[in-house]
Amino acid sequence: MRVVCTACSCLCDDVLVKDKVYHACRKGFKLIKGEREETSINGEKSSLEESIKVARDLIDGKKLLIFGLDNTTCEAQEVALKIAKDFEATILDHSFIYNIQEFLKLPSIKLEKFRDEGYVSIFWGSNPHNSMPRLLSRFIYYPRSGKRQKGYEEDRFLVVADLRKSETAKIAEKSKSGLFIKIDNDYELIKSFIRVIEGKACKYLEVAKVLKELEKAEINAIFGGGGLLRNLKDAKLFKELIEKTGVYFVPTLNKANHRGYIEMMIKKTGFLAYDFKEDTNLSKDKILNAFKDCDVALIVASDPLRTLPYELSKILTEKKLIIINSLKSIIAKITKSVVISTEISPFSGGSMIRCDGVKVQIERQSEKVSDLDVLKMLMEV
Amino acid sequence: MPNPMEIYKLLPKTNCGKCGEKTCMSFAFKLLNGEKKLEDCKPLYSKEYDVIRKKLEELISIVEKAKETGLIINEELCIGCANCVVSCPVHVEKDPKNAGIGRGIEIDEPILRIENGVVVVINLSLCRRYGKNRTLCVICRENCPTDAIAFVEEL
Repeated sequence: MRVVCTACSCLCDDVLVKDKVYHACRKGFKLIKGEREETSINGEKSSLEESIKVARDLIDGKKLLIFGLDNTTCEAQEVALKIAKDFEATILDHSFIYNIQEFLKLPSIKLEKFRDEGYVSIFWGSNPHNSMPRLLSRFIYYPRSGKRQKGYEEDRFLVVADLRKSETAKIAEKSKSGLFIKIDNDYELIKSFIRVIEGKACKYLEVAKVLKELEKAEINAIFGGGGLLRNLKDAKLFKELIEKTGVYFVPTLNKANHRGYIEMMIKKTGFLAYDFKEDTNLSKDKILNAFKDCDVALIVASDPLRTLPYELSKILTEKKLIIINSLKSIIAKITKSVVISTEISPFSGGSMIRCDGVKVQIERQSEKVSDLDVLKMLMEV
Repeated sequence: MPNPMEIYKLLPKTNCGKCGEKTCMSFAFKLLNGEKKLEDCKPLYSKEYDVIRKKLEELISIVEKAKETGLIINEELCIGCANCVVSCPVHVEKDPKNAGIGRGIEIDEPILRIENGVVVVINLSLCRRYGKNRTLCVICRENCPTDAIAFVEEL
């Protein structure tokens, strides 16, 4: 059967699952064939109904924190937000690590359009080799499509700006049509671009070559990764760079539906993290207290021990936890919690929003309960 | 990658001809090309050559991993990015609407395909390095970000 792989925000729709998994990268294979979580209460196997009932009892009347959600469907995210409202809970995902809101207002481009017409791609603080393994081969650098029939050999130019020589940087460095800029300060690189445009001297000399390449085509884009989104406190100067160079911006958010969560939260609350009890935005400085103050945490499709700073994840391990997840997680293994096993997203149906903002529909291919089903049950019990 | 002289130095150097070659040097070349096997050298399996034979086996083990085109894939390093599949000029020509534009390759017998998250060799006879009129194409290796692909002549 043909499935949409939800291992990262590429949302590859060409993955074939038969006796083997075809075309999916290692991340996709691990998601599709990885070891599944088992429904349990405090380490003892249990039925779905029993776990839901215990979970609901845990939530009632307690201060609830809802965390995760980046790897589940838009529909499940919306139900989670409704639970947060109804139970006056705090809701957040990994977005508080980034300063992403301002970046999403920048002019963006669909990956298919970039595949057909794009020339210069600048990976800034991003290593798609790890975060989105098929991004270069599917959309950015290798395809021979539309106006770019000569592919990476003549019709693409790959720039990697990073503080270390990542795997993607290695490709850029050894290619005739690529360039690696080793940076130690994002602001300095932005300033270098602006200064060269203004005809002044700059810190990073490679910028002049990049600007020369940018002039060769109309469609060029910056793919900003965690390195960029975390480090820039405001996007003002970056916005100026985008305006002056006319390039598009695509955030390379590696979690499958991270963008879906961000768009939903901005639309419905105006913020990326929200405390419904105080009816206010949960700013970065309040995150630690929100973790400390909660009685129960509902973790959806996430393993905080793998993704959060130790300071925060350690607090979670001391709380009562309800974990809704498909694959085995470290947090479920080391804590006494209510674990509800669900179907993985490629089979569970629903929709997700790709890193470039395109909504991708996922066909339901399994009868096993999804994250959405469980969240609904949790509300309705 | 060992060179023929390194191999030759370890051989009996008697030019006995038992392997079907006139000289041990010729045997060394063919051993590296994969046209001969170590077992073809009969004297090497006598007791006096035990230590030397083990050294030779170590050297040749690198060559034996290689496919007919000299291709060596280290699956442990591969992350299934498919750069090799999509950049391969043969794949682009044979499957322009899938591999050519970055999608998973759909022809029946491609050279390489991503299966269970890593690249596997399916049909090397399509490779530009295969057969008499071969070229020393290294595009798949050049675009591998993890060095999971290598060719024997470059080791």
